[in-house]
Amino acid sequence: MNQAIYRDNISEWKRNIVECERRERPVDPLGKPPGNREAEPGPKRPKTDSPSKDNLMKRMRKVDPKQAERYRQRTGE
Amino acid sequence: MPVLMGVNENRMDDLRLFGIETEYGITREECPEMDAVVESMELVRAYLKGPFQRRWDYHGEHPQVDQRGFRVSELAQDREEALFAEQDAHRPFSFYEMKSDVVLPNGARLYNDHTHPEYSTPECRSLKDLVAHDRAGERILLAAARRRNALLGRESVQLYKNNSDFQGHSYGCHDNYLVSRSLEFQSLVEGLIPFLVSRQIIAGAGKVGREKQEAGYRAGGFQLSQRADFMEQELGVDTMHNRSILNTRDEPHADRTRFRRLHLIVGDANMSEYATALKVGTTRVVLDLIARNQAPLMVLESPVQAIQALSQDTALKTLVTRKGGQTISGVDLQREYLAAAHRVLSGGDDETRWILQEWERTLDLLESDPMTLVGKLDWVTKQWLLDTFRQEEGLAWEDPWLKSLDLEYHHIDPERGLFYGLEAEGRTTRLCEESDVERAIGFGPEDTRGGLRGACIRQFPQYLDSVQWERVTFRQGDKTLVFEMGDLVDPASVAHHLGLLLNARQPEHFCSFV
Repeated sequence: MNQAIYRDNISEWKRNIVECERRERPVDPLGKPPGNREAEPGPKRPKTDSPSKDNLMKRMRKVDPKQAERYRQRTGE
Repeated sequence: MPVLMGVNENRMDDLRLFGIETEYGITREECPEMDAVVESMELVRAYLKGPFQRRWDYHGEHPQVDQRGFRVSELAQDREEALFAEQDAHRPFSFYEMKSDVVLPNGARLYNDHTHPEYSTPECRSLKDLVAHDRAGERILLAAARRRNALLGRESVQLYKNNSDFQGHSYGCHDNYLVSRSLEFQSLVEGLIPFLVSRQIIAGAGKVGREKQEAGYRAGGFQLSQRADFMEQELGVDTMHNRSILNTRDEPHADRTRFRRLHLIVGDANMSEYATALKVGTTRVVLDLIARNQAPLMVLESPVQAIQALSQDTALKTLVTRKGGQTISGVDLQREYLAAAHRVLSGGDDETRWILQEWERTLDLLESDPMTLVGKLDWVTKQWLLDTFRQEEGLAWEDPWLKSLDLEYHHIDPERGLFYGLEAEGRTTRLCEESDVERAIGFGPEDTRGGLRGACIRQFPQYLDSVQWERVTFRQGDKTLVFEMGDLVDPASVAHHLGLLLNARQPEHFCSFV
């Protein structure tokens, strides 16, 4: 019984992760970066003309610029 | 049967158990001077359907015991903790009430740890289960916050899955692995340190600015890791001060004669499922290499300096120095481990193949086209979001708005969090379905003792006396019944016990008598 469960788990893993990832191809989520930033190292700035990114920008603009200044925690582990 | 470093190779898969404990940041937006002790306690309790009942059994928790074979007389935080205990004494709650330690029906632990709501996943055997349970933790905390806010009558309590308050206070996301006791701790040290120093290039959550432990914040720039600034030594048992790249706490939460628990405090809390899976998956693979005595032999001249230098270079060009004077980049350190894994573990099970494939792809893309990792690696995603915003608004990296956006990336409410905003647009790589997360909220993995613990909670709540990682104790009439799980690691035994448990009408049908 356990073997069957384990096999099912592996099949599910293959179906949901391995095969899904195999189908996926690396894509630039928002297109190529502007030309003059090509030479800079690290992640590049994407194009900004996507309507969906506008939604993200709206979400970001709603964030209170001073929010982190007020954020204070006790040291944890 | 081959025996490698004292571990029977055919039983190594049984040892594939891991879990993640995450301390969340908590705040009340209209009340920055909130009492964090009370807020964390009330948050945990808000998740409960009934009154809090003390059930957690603290036996087996010995944070002073060191893997190097000694016990320290005190931890660096003890003095501060004593001070906090004095401050906490005025509250009308006992220590245990303030902790509000509860075990959930999925086998997870939820409690107030040092003023942070902490969710510890049940033990998982597969990355897919782990990712689902890590996400389940976010959903559970979110549900708790919503209930708490409903009681408060306003959207007050906010939760962040991050590791810093940008003022020099850090809180952890610890990944844990079951390891055979027969592995010498020194072999773990030698095999893991260079890997952990460089793991942040995959698993870093990204951070605006720099910090120093309880010494404040310096604005400007962006780095790979939230935690690297807080690493102060290579090895050590402390977790709140003098934090170390490799924590030496010897608290196996299992049969001490057979097992160790590798308790890693160096990692960041990841929002991305893909980053979580790679972080834990690559670490598990390196542990497999160490058990086979096949880990690359590399010694860094100064691991603490190296982890901070690598974190501060998002171009990934920084070279760190090895003993003997050779230098190597973070990506190449990771490639050394990847090459060993390909040599030794290729042709393994599906999950191992997935890890090796994605590890290699990620390292290649980090060097060739890191933008393609937006939605996969947290630091790349966050840097992209913040840099885009920065340029649109004409902000300098020193602008405090970026620090606030960094924080908001980790907000666990899908209506607010920036990572979740990206996910809503389908731009993140998910490794589990929402149905997996829903199931993980209610049930533990069926192939680990975490699933058994959860089943005990669901099946016999009226008989529960106490619960902890290794055992569940029931009280049935005048009998005390103990369900021991300290050495219950192999999936066949777990399945056997789960069958007994689910068919039992009373605890005595599957427990041993005391």
